[in-house]
Parts: sequence; C-alpha cells; structure tokens
Amino acid sequence: MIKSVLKTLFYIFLIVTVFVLNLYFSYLLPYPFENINLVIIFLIIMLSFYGTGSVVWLAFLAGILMDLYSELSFGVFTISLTISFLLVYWLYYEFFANKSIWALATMTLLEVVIFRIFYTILIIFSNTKIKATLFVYYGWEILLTTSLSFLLYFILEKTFTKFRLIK
Amino acid sequence: MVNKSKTKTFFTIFFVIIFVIFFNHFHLLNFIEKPFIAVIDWSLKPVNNVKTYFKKSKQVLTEEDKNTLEQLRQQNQVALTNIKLLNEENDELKKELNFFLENDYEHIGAIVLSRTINPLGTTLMIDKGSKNGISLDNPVVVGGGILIGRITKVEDDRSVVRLINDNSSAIGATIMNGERSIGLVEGGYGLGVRMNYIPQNEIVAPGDTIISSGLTVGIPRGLIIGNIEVVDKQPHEPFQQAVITPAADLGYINLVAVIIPKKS
Repeated sequence: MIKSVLKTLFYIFLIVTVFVLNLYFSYLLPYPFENINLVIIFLIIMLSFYGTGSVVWLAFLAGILMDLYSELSFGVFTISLTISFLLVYWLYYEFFANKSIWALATMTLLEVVIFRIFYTILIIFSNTKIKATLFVYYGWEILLTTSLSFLLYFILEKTFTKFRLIK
Repeated sequence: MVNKSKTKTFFTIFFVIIFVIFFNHFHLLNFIEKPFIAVIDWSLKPVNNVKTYFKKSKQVLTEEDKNTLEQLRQQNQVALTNIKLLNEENDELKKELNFFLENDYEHIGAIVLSRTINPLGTTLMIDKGSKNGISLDNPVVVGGGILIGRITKVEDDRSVVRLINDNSSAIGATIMNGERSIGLVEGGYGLGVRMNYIPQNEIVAPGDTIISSGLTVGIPRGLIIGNIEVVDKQPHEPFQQAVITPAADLGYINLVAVIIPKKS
C-alpha cells in the first residue's frame, strides 16, 4: 500500500518536473526548437517502458497542468492530451507492443497528430481564430518531438537492457 | 469483450475530465491546484536568470555592452517620440494629455514567470494578478513606454500577457509620418508584427515610428510599438500594409509594467 502511494507520488513528481522542463524549453529555446513537446516524449517513453494504463492518468495530470498555464479555456489540453494518450495506449497494445525504436517513433508521431487534431477542434469550438501558419508550428512540433524521442530512446536502448527489443 | 472494456475505460476517463472541468469552473479544486501552481511558479523563477546568462554570454562574444545600449536606444526612442508628440500638440492638449497620463493611470511592476504553453499564442505569464488591481485588457509596457502586449487572462496572483506578435493581438496604432496615418497592428503566431488597414494614399516609409493611437479601449495614446521595416503597397488594394520591427525584443522580457487606471 505504502509502496504504491510512494510510487504514485514519484510519478506525479516526475510529470511536474518534466512539465517545468517543458516550460523552460519553450521559453529559452529559439524557434523552431521551442516546439519540442517534452511531456509527450516522456509519456511515450514511459508507455514503452512500463506498458501500463497509468500513463493515461499521467497524461490527464499533465493536461491539467498545461491548462493551468494556458490562456485558453480550461479543459482544452486535459481533453486533448488524455484522449489522445488513451487512443495511443490502445494502439500500443494492438500494434506497437514490441518495444522497437520504430514503433516508438510511430507512436510519438501519432500521439502528436491525434493530440493536435483534438486540440484544433476544441479551439475552433471555443471560437479562437486560427490561421494556416499554425500548421507550420504543428509540423515543427511533429518533426522535432518525434526526432528527439527517437534519439532519446536510442540512447536509453543502448544504456538499459529493459528497453531492448523483445525478439 | 475487449471493446466493452474499452468503452467502459473511455467513459470513465471522459466523466473524470468533465468532473474536473466542472469543479474547476466553480474554483472547487483550488486547494489541489494552488500547491502545484506554487511549486511550479517557484521552479520557474530562475528562468529569467538562465535567459539573461545565455544572453550575456552571447554578448561577450559579439558586443560587450549591447544590453545597456539596447536599453538606452529604447529610452532614446521613447524620448524622441515624446518630443515629436509634444511639439505637435497645442498647450491645452498637452495639459490634457499630461493629466491623462499622469493622473488617470498608474504602473504595476511585474516579473515574467514564463511563456505559456500554448503554441497557438505568444503569451507570457507574470506574477501579478487581480489582487494587485490588474484587469483584462490592461496594456503592458517595458522601458517606460514601449508597448509589448495586453492582459488576456487574470487570476488572483498571476496574469497572462498576450504579446503584440500573437495571432490574436490587434491594437489601434498611429504612424508618426506626415499624415499621422492610423491602422491596426496585428501579430502572427510570434513570427512577426504587421500594421494593416493603412490608407493607400498616405505616404509611409521604412523607419517611421509606430505608436498606440489611443483608439483601442484601455490603451493610452503614445506608447511606442515599433518601427516600419517594409511597406507592402499593392495598387489594386484599398489599403497598404507594413511589416514592423517591435521596439522591444519580445523574446527577452524579464520585467514589465502593467498600466492600470488610477484608483479614485
């Protein structure tokens, strides 16, 4: 029981730390690198590592934190991030459970795409004006987030045996 | 069976989200949110120091006193524009303008906590909120009179500033040319700032200074926005456009001042 509570608290601490790092990235890095989404990278790697549904609840918490630091209506990030991770979690079990680096890259790409689709629909519903240049940002986010997750997983795979391919 | 389980999971998560949004709307989750916000705000305090460190390191390599010179340039620009404005106004208008600026408004200093996480907007989070008298649409300035944006969201202890290069930003502006042309300064996802709806027949040139026109509610006249970089004039269009270089470096803002109406 205590172990489970401590584990949960540790995960909450981790997601808050990654969220703060993400804010640092978006503030300090120049365009287009400010679009790297560390929260998604962290959660996708967690999903590949543990393969449990708790990642969806961590995504839910991350979504709430994002909503607290956004000027958009509360719920836009919570809904987009949680639902997109739920869908990716299901895809993981159906297609990507082999822990390969290509599966991880594909999951990251799908996650960012699904997340941004939900996000765009929600902001359109909340009467926010969008322009075509927003999709340039999405493009950079998809490219850089997928590339970084690929790179990080490659390093982790070389470092820790648990990440290695199940053959 | 699997599909039934998936449906159940989906609806469980969906109802939890609805529950959280509903309770947040009525501020019933403040007791959980506040500790998280306090910890994250505290963690974000060094962000400006980190940015300053990197900026200074860069300057040592290029130009030692660039930062000071930039501040002096901004102050000089403010002073020059004020002189220009003062020369063209008659004494009575000057008195009224002084009364307007000196008596109807006051400044609240604030520290920038971070950029907000929304890629759609170019916004900053500052450490002052409604408890300090800040309200929606208050203008935000640096360097004593350079407009960088407006307040777009207010909470008790913090606020969100929508920068002038944000996609949703639109501010009435005047060009300091012969005709004192008016138009609308609009941003575009942080990629640049443009002035639109400038009458086609008026003479606009690169280098002209742009100030707030006073026609946007809550924003006093005379706050510097930037200088014209390029003029885009098409003969078949009723209006001309101009690309603006903002007077302040919008990617490097540590301290700001929020202009609020003076309490009577």
